[in-house]
Amino acid sequence: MPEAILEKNLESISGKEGKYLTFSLVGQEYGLEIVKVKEIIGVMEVTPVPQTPKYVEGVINLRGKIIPVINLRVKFGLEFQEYTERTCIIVVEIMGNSGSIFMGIVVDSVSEVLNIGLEELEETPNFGIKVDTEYIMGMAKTKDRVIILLAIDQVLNSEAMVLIESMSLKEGGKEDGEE
Amino acid sequence: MLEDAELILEFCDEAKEHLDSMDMALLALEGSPEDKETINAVFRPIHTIKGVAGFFNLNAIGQLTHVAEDILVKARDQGVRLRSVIIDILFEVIDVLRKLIEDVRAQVPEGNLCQEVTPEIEQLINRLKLASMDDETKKLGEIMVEQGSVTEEDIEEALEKQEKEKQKIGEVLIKSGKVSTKDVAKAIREQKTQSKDTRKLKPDEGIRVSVEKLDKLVDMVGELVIAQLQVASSDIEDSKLGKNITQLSKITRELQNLTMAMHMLPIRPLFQRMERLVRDLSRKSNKVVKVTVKGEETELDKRVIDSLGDPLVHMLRNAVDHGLEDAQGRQNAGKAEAGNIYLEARHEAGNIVIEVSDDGKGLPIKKICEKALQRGLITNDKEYPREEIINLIFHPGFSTAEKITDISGRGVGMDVVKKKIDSLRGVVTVDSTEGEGTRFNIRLPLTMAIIDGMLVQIGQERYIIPTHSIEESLKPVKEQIITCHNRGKVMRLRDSIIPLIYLNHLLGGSPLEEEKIESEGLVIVVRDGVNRAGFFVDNLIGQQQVVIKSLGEAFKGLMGISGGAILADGRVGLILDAHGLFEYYSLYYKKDNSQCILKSKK
Repeated sequence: MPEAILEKNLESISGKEGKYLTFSLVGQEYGLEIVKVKEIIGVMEVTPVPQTPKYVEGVINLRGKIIPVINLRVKFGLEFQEYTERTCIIVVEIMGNSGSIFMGIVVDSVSEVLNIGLEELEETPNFGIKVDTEYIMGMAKTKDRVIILLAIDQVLNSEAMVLIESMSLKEGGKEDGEE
Repeated sequence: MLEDAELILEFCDEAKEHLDSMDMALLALEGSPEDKETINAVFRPIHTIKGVAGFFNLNAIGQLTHVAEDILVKARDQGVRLRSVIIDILFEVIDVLRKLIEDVRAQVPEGNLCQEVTPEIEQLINRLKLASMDDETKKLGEIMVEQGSVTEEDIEEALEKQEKEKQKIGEVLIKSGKVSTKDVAKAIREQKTQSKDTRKLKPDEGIRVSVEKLDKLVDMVGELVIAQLQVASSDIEDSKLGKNITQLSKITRELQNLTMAMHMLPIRPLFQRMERLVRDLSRKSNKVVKVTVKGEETELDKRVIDSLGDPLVHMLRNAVDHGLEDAQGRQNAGKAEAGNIYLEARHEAGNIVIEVSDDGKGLPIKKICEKALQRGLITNDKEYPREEIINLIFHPGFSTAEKITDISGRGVGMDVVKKKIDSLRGVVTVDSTEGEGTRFNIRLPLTMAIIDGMLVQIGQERYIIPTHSIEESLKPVKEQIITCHNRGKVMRLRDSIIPLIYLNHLLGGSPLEEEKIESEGLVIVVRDGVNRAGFFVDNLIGQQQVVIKSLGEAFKGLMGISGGAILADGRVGLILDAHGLFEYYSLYYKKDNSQCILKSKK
């Protein structure tokens, strides 16, 4: 029996070793697969887009392309913080319904690029049925800290970014305060 | 079963496709009968069909295609003009071939293919042969008669001789001593100039470029324009640099116009398709319809042309089916028997205008009123301008849900037309006089990539309102603004009353005091073809041309925002869409008329 568990463990973490860009949000370190990261830019003025949930900051002009910007703090239900000089926008490329799309995510600060090996990886712990862990790809334990590896496609795709539909269909105000 | 059954069935399928492509090519040929490439496009499928038909011993098909092929070869290699008579017959040939091929398909299971050349087919073949023989350019003989060098009798005599001796008529005449060589030469010269006149100018030579590449080019030029604007809007003290930048601006603008022009195609093929459609429709409904087309050379963005087909089909179908009366009806109304449909394209004030009109019975305004009352679109207690009533036919669901077609005859899919035109950022209006006809007016922007917009300040943000939907802007006085209980505010604008929309609230900006907006803000009167409303904005910044950019997949479904544009300072400004905003506004008010459901950020 223990072997079976071990095997399953390996299966779920294999393929996840590699380079990760780490960043911090309210003191916690998170990791993003480096292949998804296109570039890191400083904070620039964002044009807010109406009819979107609070975590959608708006859109920016990335060299002629208009891309959405998401505030990860708000998205994860953490307390909002005014931008500091360390605040960054990480531009990631995720798969949309029709090809890849670029999105910017606002994080407190970018830390480093880490090489995470199999031995440091851990399966996402089971928090019990009530906690949804689909945003989490896995955990990495290094000497002194634990890094949460984000499944960024899930984070950014899991919810429609426009509130209209839920508004017109359900006529209620329940969805509006989704944070 | 036949041994070749499978092969023959395959042939039938292929032939069907070939005939469809011929249909298209033939239509194109109608517009440019001397274009070799187009002739070839008709020729190739017919040649293929002929080959296979011969292989299977399908006589009728074989003969018919053979004659048609002959004509096309003549047109291609000898420059025989494909006149509309010939093209008409070729259309008939296609229809007959379709039928023949269906027959063949039906006969395959029975096991015997018998194809007789029926008298009708024979007649068709003869007509085709005949039509191809007489050339439209005037006969040499006729010209000489006109010039007075010979008499008609002389010509007839010479013609007989010509048949026998297989000589050219000129030679016969000279030989018989009736005319001098000089006269003949003169006549030939005349004939040549005439035939030159009938030939249209050859189109520019061109190369094929994929749309994708073209789009990229347009994108890049768009970027260039932005970059150039950014440079130009910065403070320049160096006068030499300033001059150079002005020069750069000129070049960029030129370049932009040029790239835009590359997307443009004449509307001709589309109009031709429509002519064919009306031709078929009129036959089906047993009405005599004359189509008059104007301005086919008007150039439009290819994407616009592509999506204009559906709306035009709807409008024309309506015009033929319901707009035009039948022969009896027209007689009673004292009109000529043939109904008229006009299709016109033209440039007007930076827009493309397409008009579809007919001289039929017009829209039944009374019935539209009744229907609108029933559906609560209008109320009894108010007088509505006629125009407003007529344009109700574009109201979504107005036609389809209540089956207004059964009662009044008009309005099938008009909301579809409206939607399509909206998506092209155009405006469609209709005008109609009962008993005299109906006129649809479609106003489209010249290009899809760039719009003229009014940059406005709303709260913290700047938005762009497309100029084409703006009627006017004004500073309202207090007395003009009226509060309706629970229904928001309205504004009196001369003799009409329009809803007032506080864009700042609607777009989720910081909810400023309405009073403050009212005293300091401006109202922009906006219309989307059907509705009119006043938008309260803080300030007008100025008019600007912007390149429209999509906000991408993530923001699909936003109402009232059609895209974004990069402003001179590099930031993104959202482009507002009047129609969507109206819809959003009503949704917003339905849901909760006091509380702003939108986030107010920070």
